[in-house]
Amino acid sequence: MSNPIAYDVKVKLLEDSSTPFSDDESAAWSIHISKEPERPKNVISVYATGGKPPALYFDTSHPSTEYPSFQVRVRGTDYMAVQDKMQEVRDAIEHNGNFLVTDIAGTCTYYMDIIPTTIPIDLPADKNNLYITVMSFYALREERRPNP
Amino acid sequence: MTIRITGVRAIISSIRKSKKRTRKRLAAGLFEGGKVLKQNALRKTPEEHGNLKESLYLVGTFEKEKAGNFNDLSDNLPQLTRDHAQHILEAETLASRKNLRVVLGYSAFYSIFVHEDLSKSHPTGEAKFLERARNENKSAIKQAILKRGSRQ
Repeated sequence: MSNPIAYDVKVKLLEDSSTPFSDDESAAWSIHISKEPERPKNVISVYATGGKPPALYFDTSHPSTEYPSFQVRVRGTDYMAVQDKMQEVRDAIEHNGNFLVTDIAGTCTYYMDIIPTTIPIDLPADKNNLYITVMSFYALREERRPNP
Repeated sequence: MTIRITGVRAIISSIRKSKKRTRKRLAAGLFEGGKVLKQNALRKTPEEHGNLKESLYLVGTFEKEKAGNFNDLSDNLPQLTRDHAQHILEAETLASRKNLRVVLGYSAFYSIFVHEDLSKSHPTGEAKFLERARNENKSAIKQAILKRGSRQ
């Protein structure tokens, strides 16, 4: 079974990128999956948002093709810092959308491409007066099972 | 030797009529597909005062469903009404006779925020309502287009 899209994006693209992202909540920017904690104030969240129906093949040996979608949400205290961070996230995702993830059972998930479906959209400031910008993407991936 | 061909005018006229009929059928099919998407999007649209749902419009080349009966529960009523009229006008231009299209959208200025904000929980409906309605009903939309579009 392939990993959830939000996990792969967080681990393979955002943490592996040259940009100094961190999971550590005391860091300048921390990354979270499917949640946006109140603290710290500067956070990046990745949400899985469903996606298009998978491509089905009569030939069961053909790897299944999926189109999962996700949204990246950047929240922070400074408007321009939020915009810059979203640009870094966007670069990290768009420039490295072709990668391979292998789980312990040996199943490979091959990400062929990640395509943006929106431009960054500013949402109204939240109750703590923090700036929020969001951007949505969808991925094109195939799950390749190991040979028995 | 002379070959005389008669009825050319009738053939040309028949082709023109057929082209017109095909365009009308195609436009009707597209509109039917739009209606399927609209119904499913409405089911998923969050509802507070109902104005977001009321702002959903569907404009085809020959038919339209304008909605726009907004509730006067907030100060936004003049803006909602003005934006709705503007959106319909733009949609009518996009779906003109020259461009066989169907245009569906929400005219409420805040619709994008409701659509994209995944952190908000809604008592009815959900975020990404239009995107999900499209993704989950692709084959139903296609079927509706084909069914009405191919009807004689």
